[in-house]
Amino acid sequence: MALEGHMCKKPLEILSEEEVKAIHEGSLKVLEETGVVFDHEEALNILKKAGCNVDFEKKLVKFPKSLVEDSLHKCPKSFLLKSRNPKYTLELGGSRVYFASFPAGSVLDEETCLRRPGTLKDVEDFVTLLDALPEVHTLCQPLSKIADKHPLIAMEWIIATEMKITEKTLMGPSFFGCAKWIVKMAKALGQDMLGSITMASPLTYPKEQVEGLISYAQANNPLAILSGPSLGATGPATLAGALLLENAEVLAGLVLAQLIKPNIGILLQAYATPLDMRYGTMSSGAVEVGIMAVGIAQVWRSYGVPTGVFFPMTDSKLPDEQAAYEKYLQLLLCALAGINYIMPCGGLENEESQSIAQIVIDNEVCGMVGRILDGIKVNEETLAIDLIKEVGPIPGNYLKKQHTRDWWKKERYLSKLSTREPYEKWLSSGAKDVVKRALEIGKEIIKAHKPPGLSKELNEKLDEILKMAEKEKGVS
Amino acid sequence: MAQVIEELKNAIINGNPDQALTWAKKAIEMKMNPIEVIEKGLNEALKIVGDAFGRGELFLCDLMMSAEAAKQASSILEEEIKKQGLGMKTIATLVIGTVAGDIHDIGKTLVATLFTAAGFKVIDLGIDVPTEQFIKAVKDYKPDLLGLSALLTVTALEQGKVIEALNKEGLRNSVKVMVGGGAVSREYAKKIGADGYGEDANEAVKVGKELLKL
Repeated sequence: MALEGHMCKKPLEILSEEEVKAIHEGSLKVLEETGVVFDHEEALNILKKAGCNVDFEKKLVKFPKSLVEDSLHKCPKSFLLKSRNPKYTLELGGSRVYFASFPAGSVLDEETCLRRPGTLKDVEDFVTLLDALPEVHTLCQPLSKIADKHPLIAMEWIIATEMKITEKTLMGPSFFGCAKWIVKMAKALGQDMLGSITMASPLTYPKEQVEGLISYAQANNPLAILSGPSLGATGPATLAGALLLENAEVLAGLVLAQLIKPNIGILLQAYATPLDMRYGTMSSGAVEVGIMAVGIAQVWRSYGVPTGVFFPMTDSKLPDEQAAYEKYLQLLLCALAGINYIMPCGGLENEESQSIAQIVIDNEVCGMVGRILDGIKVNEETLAIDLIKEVGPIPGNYLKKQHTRDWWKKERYLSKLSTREPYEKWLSSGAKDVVKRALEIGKEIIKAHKPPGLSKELNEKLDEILKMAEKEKGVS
Repeated sequence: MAQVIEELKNAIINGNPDQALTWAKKAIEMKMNPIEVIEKGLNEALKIVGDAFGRGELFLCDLMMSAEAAKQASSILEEEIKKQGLGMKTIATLVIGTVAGDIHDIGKTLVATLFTAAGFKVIDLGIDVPTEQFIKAVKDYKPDLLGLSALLTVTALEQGKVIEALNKEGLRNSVKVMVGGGAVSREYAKKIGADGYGEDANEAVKVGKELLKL
């Protein structure tokens, strides 16, 4: 049994079959002729042994077509990401759509509307909120930087804090050698991590990311292999070219992962984002991000490999209308495209800041998008022909009917956040906009919600591993 | 002669490296003063491009192509200056690089380009530059400014280490240090004892000039 999530029965398509094929074949050509750098001696040896053409001096690996295709065949069509509480285990792949939280580098202070550095206490608050919200099916760390721990050890602390609070499944990053310690912690709790491997475009796997790939794969944790070329800067400015590069880049990691652990579960994850040539910033809220997601999902579905994206995102600095239209256009496109792992919950300003209000609003929209995926149920009872006959023309109405009582709630997504009350009631309750209401709801949840937490023994076990990590890294 | 300068300027403004090289060669053939060609052709063109970028009229990729065109032209013009034993005038010297452990190139290169456009002599040490190499470059080139770029929180620590090393070597007062990049904030720059910080490349140049009272 796995967490239900939502189902996308008929995925949206934007590319023709020939176009999907052109991207696939172009990616294979790039892998075979241009190659990918792996800054990792052991990985180079493994790839060489498997038949790749390896230039050890340049650390450049060229992949024969047959090896890439064999590796794709080894990938399971779906896999489980196990929680320590089976209720929260995910089954990634097929038609299922799950929503995850999104990481950020700092906290948006809701009073001043300015960024401030996050702390472990903020991580606790965000995770408590994410644990309580029903549309957050799985977590990526809500903060990826904190001020009260040394940067070299911050990630281990952040992940341990998530583990201590929530039983929902977690993404495990690979930055600064943290993967090794996160694997140990997950093992102690008897849960999987979704091992996140972030390659660097164009065509480069940094050392720490290869180390992460090996750590997670060897411990039998499924992987999310992420590529995010920035259009016009670290990838072609054309959408098709960026997709082709993105695909080649994740396939290179997929081959290595299947060599290290045959048949390991892999989710391919997209983050192609245009560069704004006016400022040199990433336009992570661009509508093209969503369009490309639909396209790459088609390519990856043609492989039968589970799909993911590292967005929706926005460039807005505040939880405002821009945040809404940017995030939700991308979210809707991704959900309609049937992407298995989408990250809509939280995050503003392109990974820069995290906001309680934004998380609450995102959760609400995820519920609505989930409702869109659920579609329209058509059967004898829902068509209600007999009932229509029974009620007839005016003065007949449907309010006094058992059918209405049975169905109205089941058919509707009931928003707790939107204002639906009459005008004067809204005025007398403070005339609040959605951001204010969301912030109040979020703060109330953080105060009242009691997450499942961990036993004292397991808490101590995690602390022990953190101490070992600090000792080995020489920081505290 | 004025036409050659004009054509060279246009080649750079339009971001055409082949044309820029052709007109630079032409200038040398015509025995024009290479220093004058750099000052009136290259630097003025880069200033026009840099200003237009600042006003949002030209875009990052335009700027990068113009910089590439200027680089092509300047490589042979500088060779000529050396051959003739002339001395080149620049308003100041910047040594710049992305710190150890960090392979992010684009932001740093953009800053280098805008400083060049502002008339600086720029020595770009590249990416993943170890602290010792920064120190050696400060000793060798005696720059007025040292620019340290970092995108990651952990590599931002390296910026602090370079500043510490400058202190230890007794070089700290010889050079103004600027830091920047995705992992760096104004507060962080202050904390590690940098002299200046720019949120983007345009601000970096502005702050750099202010620090040197230019």
